[in-house]
Amino acid sequence: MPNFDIDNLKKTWQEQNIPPKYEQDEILEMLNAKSINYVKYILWISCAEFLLVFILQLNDIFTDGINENIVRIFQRMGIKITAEIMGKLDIYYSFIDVLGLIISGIFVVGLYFNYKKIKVEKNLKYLILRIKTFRKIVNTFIIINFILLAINIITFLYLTWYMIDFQGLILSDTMIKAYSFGVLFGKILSFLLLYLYYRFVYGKIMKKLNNNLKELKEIESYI
Amino acid sequence: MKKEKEFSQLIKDNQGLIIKVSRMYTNSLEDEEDLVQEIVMQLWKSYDNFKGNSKISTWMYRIALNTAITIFRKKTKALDTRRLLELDFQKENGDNDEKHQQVALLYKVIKMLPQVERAIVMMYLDDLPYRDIAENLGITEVNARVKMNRLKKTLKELMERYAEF
Repeated sequence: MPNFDIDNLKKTWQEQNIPPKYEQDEILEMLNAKSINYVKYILWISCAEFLLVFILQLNDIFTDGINENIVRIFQRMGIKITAEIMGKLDIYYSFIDVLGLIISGIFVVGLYFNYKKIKVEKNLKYLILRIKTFRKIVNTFIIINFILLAINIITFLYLTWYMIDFQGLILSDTMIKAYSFGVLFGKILSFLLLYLYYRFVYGKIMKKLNNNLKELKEIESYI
Repeated sequence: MKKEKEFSQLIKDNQGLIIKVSRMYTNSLEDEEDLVQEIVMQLWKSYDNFKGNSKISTWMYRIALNTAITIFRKKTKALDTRRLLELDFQKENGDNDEKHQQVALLYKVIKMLPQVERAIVMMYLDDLPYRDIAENLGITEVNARVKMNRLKKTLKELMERYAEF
């Protein structure tokens, strides 16, 4: 049986025949080629996510869409909306929208500075942790937006039941069931879609980073 | 332009290292070529920060491995048999038949290891000191040494199992 001692194979490894494949002009061409890497990928996807949230928030600020929808739902349930309540709703939703925009701004700045900190010439562990931090910023942004959405839904539910009680309305079982199901289904569906989206977009890269980090930590645990 | 020419010459002279890393972390020629390109671009991006404090091979290994292990996005998914065929071709046509077989076997068994372990083995085989291996990975020198000693045993077992007699 041949000797498979790795130290004896060092010389063979170093002398392996790798014929030169690239000429100088080909290498120069590579410098202007399009980069395909996960960091850029995460950056572009994150920018698209920010832009989408930003457009939705701007849309909410400059239109009365939410209030019109709320009014329509209330009307179907037989709830009367006074001008005073409409005014309060306007102030509340404007506050939430402006808050959302400020949060977006803070995150865009944070994302940019963290992107700048990702340097491929640093060591592997540093690089993995930096990319993970970068990704966490986007995650936190999305979670905060979901919390804002949840606050909106809870406020809406509270307002509905308060108005029903205040105006002494009696709703049919079917109406209560349809209303509860609609809210619950909408919420579960949106969370599910978001989960699937993240699995699809970031699943592979996060799995790769986590595996490598786990490997490094295992090596560090020897002593 | 002078800097670009100097850089491209440096890459041309050291392309063996980049090709080796790319081969170790891909399974198709297309991915291998894409990875070579990405490594060259990353080396170029950090070329200004290379001050010559470390050896050129240590710096190149660091960027090449970081690119291969963390940021490179593969295009193909399936295992491409061209790589194996290419190694077989070298084996059959080379004048150092035994050496080709050993190199092919080394690639085969190292590729079976997890990604970070592959990096340690490659740097060790290319004679990088433990200090540089540890620095490139962000671990301690002692940890790198202990891990490599364990890997020697693993590799020996794998080579014995997969060698064709």
